[in-house]
Amino acid sequence: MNRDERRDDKASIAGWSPARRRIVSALIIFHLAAVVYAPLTLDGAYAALFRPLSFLRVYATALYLDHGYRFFAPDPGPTHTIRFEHGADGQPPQSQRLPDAQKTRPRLLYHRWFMLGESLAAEVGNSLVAYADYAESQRQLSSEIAELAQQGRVREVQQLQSIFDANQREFERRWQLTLVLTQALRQHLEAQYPGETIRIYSRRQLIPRPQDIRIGKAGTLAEYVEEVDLSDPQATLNALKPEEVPVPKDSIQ
Amino acid sequence: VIRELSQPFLDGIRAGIAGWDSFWFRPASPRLLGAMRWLVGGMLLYTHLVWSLELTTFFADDGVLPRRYAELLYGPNSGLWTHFHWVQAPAAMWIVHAMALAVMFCFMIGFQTRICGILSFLLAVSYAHRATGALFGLDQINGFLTLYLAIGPSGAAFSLDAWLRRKRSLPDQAQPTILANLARRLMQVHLCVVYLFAGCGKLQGASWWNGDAIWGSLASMDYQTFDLTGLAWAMWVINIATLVSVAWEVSYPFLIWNRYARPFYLALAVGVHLGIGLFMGMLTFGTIMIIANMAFLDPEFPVRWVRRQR
Repeated sequence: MNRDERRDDKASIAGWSPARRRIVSALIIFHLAAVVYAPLTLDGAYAALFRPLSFLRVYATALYLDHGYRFFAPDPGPTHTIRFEHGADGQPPQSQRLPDAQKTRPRLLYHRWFMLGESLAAEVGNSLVAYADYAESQRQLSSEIAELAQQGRVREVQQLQSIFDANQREFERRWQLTLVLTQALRQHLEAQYPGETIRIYSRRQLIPRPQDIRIGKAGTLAEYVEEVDLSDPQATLNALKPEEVPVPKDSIQ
Repeated sequence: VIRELSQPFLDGIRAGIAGWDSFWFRPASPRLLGAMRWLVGGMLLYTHLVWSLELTTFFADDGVLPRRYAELLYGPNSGLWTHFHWVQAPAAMWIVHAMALAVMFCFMIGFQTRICGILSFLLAVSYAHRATGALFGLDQINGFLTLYLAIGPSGAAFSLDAWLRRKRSLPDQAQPTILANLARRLMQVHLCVVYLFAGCGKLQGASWWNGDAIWGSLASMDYQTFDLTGLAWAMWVINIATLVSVAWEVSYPFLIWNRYARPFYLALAVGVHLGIGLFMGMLTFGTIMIIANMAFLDPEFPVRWVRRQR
C-alpha cells in the first residue's frame, strides 16, 4: 500500500473514533479467541495451557460456537445407525431402521436420525473404551495409594485420591450418557408400539475395502455390519465390563 | 540510541495497527450481506421447518433426546441454554415453533431485519442446544452465519425493509458502512478457522495420507446417494480427490486472501461441497458451506451479477 492509498484508507476508516475502534477491536479479539479456543481445546487438549481461559468456552457454548470442526476427520470411518425390533408376544418380530434410507424423508431428517445413531454409538463406544482406560488407570492409582498410605504420606495420598475420585465421576458421567440416551429411545419406541416387545441395536456399518469390491463383494453384505444389543443397556455394558474396578478408600488409613 | 533502535519496532507496530484498522474498519457495501441473508435465512428456515416433522420426538422431555443428555454432556455452568426448558406442553411447543418459523421467514425476506436477525440467531442457538445429539455441521455453519448477518446491516439491501424505505422516499441505506465490512470479515475469519481445523484434523488420519480417504466417504452405505463403489477399479480418481481435498482445505486459510488464488479456491470450494452434497446426500451441508464461501466475494458482487443477467 503506497502513501496515497494509506491516506485514502485512513480517510475511509475515519467514520469511527479511535476509542470506538479500540473497544470494538478488543471485542473482536475476545470473540475470535473463543472461536479458536473451542476447536483447539477439543477433548481436553492443551488443558494445562488454556485452563485459565476456560471462560471462553462458556461464551462459545452460550453462542453455539464451541465446535471442533473435524469434518470427516481423522478418517472417514464406519457409520452408526439404530435398528430395532418390535412385535407382540408369540409373533415374529419386525425389524426397522432409524433412519431408513428408503422411508426417512427429507434427507435432512434422515441426517437427524443418523446423528442420533452416531451419538448413541459414540456414547456406547466411549463408555467401553473409557472403561478399559479407566479400569487400568484406577488399578494403578489404587496400588500407588495403598503403597503411599503404608508409608504414611498423607498429602500424596490425598492428591492421588482426588484424581481417583475425579476419574470415577467422569466415568460415571459417560456411563450415564449411554443409559440416558438408550432409555429415552426405548421409551419413545414403547410409546409407538404399545404392548409390544422392543429390542434396540446400535448398528455399525463398516466400509467395504476396494479390493473386496473388485472381487465381486457387495458393500451391502451382512459381513460389513456389526451390532451391539442395547435392549438392556445396563446388562450389555455390564457384560462387556472386563472386571470390577478396585475402590481404594478402605486402604487409606 | 534507544529511540533509533526501537524506531523500526514502533513503525512495525504502527503499520500493524493501521493494517488491522484497514482490515476491520474500512466501509464496505452491505449488498453482499443482503444477498447472503436470503440464502442463509432460507437455509435456517428450511432447517427448522424440517424439525416440524418430528418436533416432539426430538424436543419434548419424553422424546429421544432427554434434557439430561445435554446437561451431562456439557456439565454444569457450561453456558448451555434453551427456551425448551420452559416450553414443554405440546401445544405451547407448536405455538412457539410457529412463531420461530415466522421470525426466520421475516429475517429471510428482510423485514425488521435487525430484530428478526438477532431473534433468529438466538432461536437457532436455542434449538441447537436442545437438540444436542442430532446435530451436524449444517447447524454449526447456520449458527455463525446468522450471528454475523445479525451484527451487520444485512437488511440494508435486497430486503422488504429497503423496499419499504424506498416506497416512503426515505434515504437508501445500502451505502458502504464499517459494520457491513466487520460482519463480512468475521465470516471470512471464522470460515478460515473452520477449514484450518477441518484440514489439520484430517492430517491426523492415515487414510488422508495414503490417498484412500475419499473412498471411505463414497463407499459408506449409510451416506451414499449413488453407488460409486465402481471407483474401486479406478483408485487413482480416489487418490486425486483425496489429495486435492486435503491440500485445498489445509491451505485455504492462508491462500484464500490472495486475490489471484481466491477464484481458484472458491471454485474448488463449490466443487468439493457440491460433491459432498450430491454423492453423500448432504446437500444441506454442502449448500451452506458454498453460501459461507460467498463471504469472500466482492461486497458489490450481487449488483454486478444482477447487471450481467440483464
